[in-house]
Amino acid sequence: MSGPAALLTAVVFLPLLGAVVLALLPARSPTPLKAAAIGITLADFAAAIALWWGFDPATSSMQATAVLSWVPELGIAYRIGVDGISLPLVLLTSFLMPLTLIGAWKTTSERPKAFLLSMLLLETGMLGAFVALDLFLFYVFWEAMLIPMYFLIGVWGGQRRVYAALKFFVFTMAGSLVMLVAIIYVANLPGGGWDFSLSQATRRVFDPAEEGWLFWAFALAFAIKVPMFPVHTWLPDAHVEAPTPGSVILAGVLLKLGVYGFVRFAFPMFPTAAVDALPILGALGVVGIIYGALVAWVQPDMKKLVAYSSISHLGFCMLGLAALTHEGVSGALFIMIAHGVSTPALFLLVGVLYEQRHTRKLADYGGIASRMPIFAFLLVTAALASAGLPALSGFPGEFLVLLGTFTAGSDQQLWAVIAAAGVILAAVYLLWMVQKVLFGPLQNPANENLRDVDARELGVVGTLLAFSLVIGLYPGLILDPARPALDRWIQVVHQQGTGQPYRPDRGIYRSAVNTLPSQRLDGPAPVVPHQGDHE
Amino acid sequence: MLLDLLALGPSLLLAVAAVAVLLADAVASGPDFPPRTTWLAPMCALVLALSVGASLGRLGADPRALLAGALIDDDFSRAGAVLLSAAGFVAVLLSPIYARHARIESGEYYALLLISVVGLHVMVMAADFMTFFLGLETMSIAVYALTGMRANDARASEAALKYFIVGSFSTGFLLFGIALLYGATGAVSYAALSAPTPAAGAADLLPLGLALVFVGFAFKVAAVPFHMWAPDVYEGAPTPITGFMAVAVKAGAFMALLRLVHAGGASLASPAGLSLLSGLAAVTIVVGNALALVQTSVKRMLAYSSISHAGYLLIGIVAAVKGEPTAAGGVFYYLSAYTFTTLGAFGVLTYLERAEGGAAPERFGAFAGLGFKYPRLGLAMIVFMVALAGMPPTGGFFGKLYVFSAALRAGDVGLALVGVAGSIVGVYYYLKVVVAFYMREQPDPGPLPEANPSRMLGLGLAAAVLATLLLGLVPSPWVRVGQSAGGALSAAVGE
Repeated sequence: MSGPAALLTAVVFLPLLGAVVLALLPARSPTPLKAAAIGITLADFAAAIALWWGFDPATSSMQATAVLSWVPELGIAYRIGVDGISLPLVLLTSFLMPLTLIGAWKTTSERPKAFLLSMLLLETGMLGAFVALDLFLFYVFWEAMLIPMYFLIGVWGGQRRVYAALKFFVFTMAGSLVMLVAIIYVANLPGGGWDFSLSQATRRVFDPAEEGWLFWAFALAFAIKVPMFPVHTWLPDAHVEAPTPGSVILAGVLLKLGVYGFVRFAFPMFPTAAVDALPILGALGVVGIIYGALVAWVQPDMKKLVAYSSISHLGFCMLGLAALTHEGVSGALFIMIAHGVSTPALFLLVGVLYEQRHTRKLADYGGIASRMPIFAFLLVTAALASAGLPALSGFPGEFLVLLGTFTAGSDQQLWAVIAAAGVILAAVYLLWMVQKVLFGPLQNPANENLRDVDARELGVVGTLLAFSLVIGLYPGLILDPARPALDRWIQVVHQQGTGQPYRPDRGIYRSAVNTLPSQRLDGPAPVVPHQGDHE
Repeated sequence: MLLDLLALGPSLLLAVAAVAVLLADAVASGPDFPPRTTWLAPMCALVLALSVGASLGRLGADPRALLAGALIDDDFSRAGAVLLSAAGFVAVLLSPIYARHARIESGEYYALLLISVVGLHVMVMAADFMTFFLGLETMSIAVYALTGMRANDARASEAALKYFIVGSFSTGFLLFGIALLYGATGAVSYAALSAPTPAAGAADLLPLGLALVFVGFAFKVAAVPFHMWAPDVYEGAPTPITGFMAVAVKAGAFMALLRLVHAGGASLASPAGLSLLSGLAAVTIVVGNALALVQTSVKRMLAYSSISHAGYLLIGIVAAVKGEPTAAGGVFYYLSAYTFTTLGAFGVLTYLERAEGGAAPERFGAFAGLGFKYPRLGLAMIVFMVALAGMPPTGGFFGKLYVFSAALRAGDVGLALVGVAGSIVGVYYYLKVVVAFYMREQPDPGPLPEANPSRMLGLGLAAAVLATLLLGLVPSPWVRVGQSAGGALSAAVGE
């Protein structure tokens, strides 16, 4: 295994190793355990930074790749690698994890050891799913995430935690098992034998009906994870019942795996079926945006409000994918990161209130800005970042998605117009929450003694918001390394899915009437003149 | 002849040990000898471990016909012997703690267990119906007796009687089927099925005979609608024996069925027969899962879940009948994983069961909070439940993948989807056990009595956990064993 691949393997398995070490330590006093877990996740983040340092942003191909034989009899191997699409998600995961653990320093006093083990195992599962290039390996990591998250919700959750944990688990498993059948179908080679590698699956050409079924089998699993309307119903329950760290990771990383699954697996493996499905995916994305926003608006519970806002934001991701333009897909990737920064901040801040008052009802608060000025500043900033205020992380992604959708074709223009209303609604429900919680007269006497955020909470949320400002001002930090991979991705999917080469000045539906000489796809990625400058 | 004895060594060893145990139990009792609790179980475990090792060591040797062709010594037989002796090994390790409580710790208990393993070996090695029947009865009678070991317990007696009557009934079907097949082919060997000599007017006997033989098998593996006996018997039998019945009897019957299916070849693959068999698989999955879902007793839930696993295995059998070459390896792998997970799960129940006086912990609620009280036991139960639910990184997942893959290759997409639907339901009820262990605070009906530690049981559970995880994380070696076992079946047909 080459050096970068060994580093990537270390990034994935360091938390697992840490969990094993932690399991062997005595559970008597929680403080050293917590410190050790934070140390492990920080070391993992450092390793991820080192991976980023060695990453070549000029190439579209997979880097730090390794292929180790695992079950050669069935064509299964340990195949890993990162490109510009998965690297930001790996960094996001390893960045969020130590912050989450620091943020949870006080809240999880109950059974701290089991909690830390669950978090570390969860981290390995998520990182592995982002870097796996083998369908079997991906499925193993994909499922391995479920069990720790199930425990996080079920053991440390709220009143209806068992119901929420089971619902989360059964929903996700239902999708996953259907995907498993599709994975086996794809890995069964027509001439006998097996090959679970992603490259085999993307090369293979299926007949149209077959490809349609396979695409939807994968799409179901990913759509449940995203979650797309109408299979989103597990999310509000899971979020409301999950403890703050569970919500942070669930919203920050787990949901992204759904979108990532579409990008990495469903679209490249079944491009024709994916292009056929674009109208449905786009329409469901728009429905998710508007529905999520409207439902968020009427929530009396802060956490539920943020949960529904996630459905709305992830709807933008799906809309960006469905546009199948460079801007749309870039925007989808950017929103994945941006949402992974702003929503955890919101959940952490809601957690600060819940810890003290044990209620998340908007009606129980009001006017607390006078008692908690720093908290008020953080909450307003996080809300604005989530609502897409320019200069913060929410803006570039949503702008790119809307732009990419609008330029995709005349039908898509309507989607873009409706989705733009979602941006306004986001401002409405988030500012509504800010106003209800922070401002107005302080009427509830229970709120008189609220303590402001302490240095630890300020440090965690401040780091997230500072990062939000950085990528809001300089989106190229995320998008520049991703550009070659995204370019290549859109070219290949577009060419294979529509039979037409992708023209950056034309969206999919316009390019259908243009006949251009076909570009070479097996050569190096062509340089694409860039539209929609976002730097 | 000497080579024959060598090939039979792993089975003969067990038969001799069974007699030795009975003798020693009779002779070495009284105040002059160490109490038998100290040596009975360890000795039997050691013998079974030796049998496992001997069979493992003989993997890869040339196939031979033994005893004038009555038995076949090939990699399939050896792999089966490894699996069945290993099941017996774990069951013996789980037994002392239970047997002591139920006051049934005796030489007979262990001797019967050893004899039933010998019978299972013979079932898998048999090359003709008569020898198979011999093995089946040797195994069955020993297990009937084991079921009724707790003679003073009403439920145990009911279970033993029920099992005996239903078992004899199914044997009747089987024998009648064998007789018809003999009429059709003029021979009792499996191989004769593939080239039946069409005797005058005997052409109809073949499908009828096969159908009756399959009914006999369906009773033994508790496939719906021949499953009615299973939950009551599983509930009444001593818990380690329940685990043994659920896995070893099923494994032996399925492996014998695989051999029969391969030897029978195309004569089995009639469209009507295939649709009946597919229907049997689908109904077993649906009914097994649906009934497991509504159980309030963990033991009964596991009983119904084992019915549903018979359904998943039948998917693999359908593929094997269709001539899919990977099916035998898949079924073998599934059986291996299922053996260790199910035995492990019953082992955890054994540990928690305190039958004397109070009620046994049957309701899910009785396990409230145990996961944190006994961390290692809790982790083991998570592994077993996750594996039974067919999730990675356990052997249960890999077995399911393997069997579903064989089904897809044979063109049974519909059956695979039924299997998936069943698995989704399964996830729910297996997780209910985990919920009880970790997410409930108040035990219902009340806290369980303190469990006494048992080193043997700990060893058994550790072996089961290790096997379950290894089968999921390092599947290669055992996949190769399964492939060579499946290859042996096809090679035998080719001769």
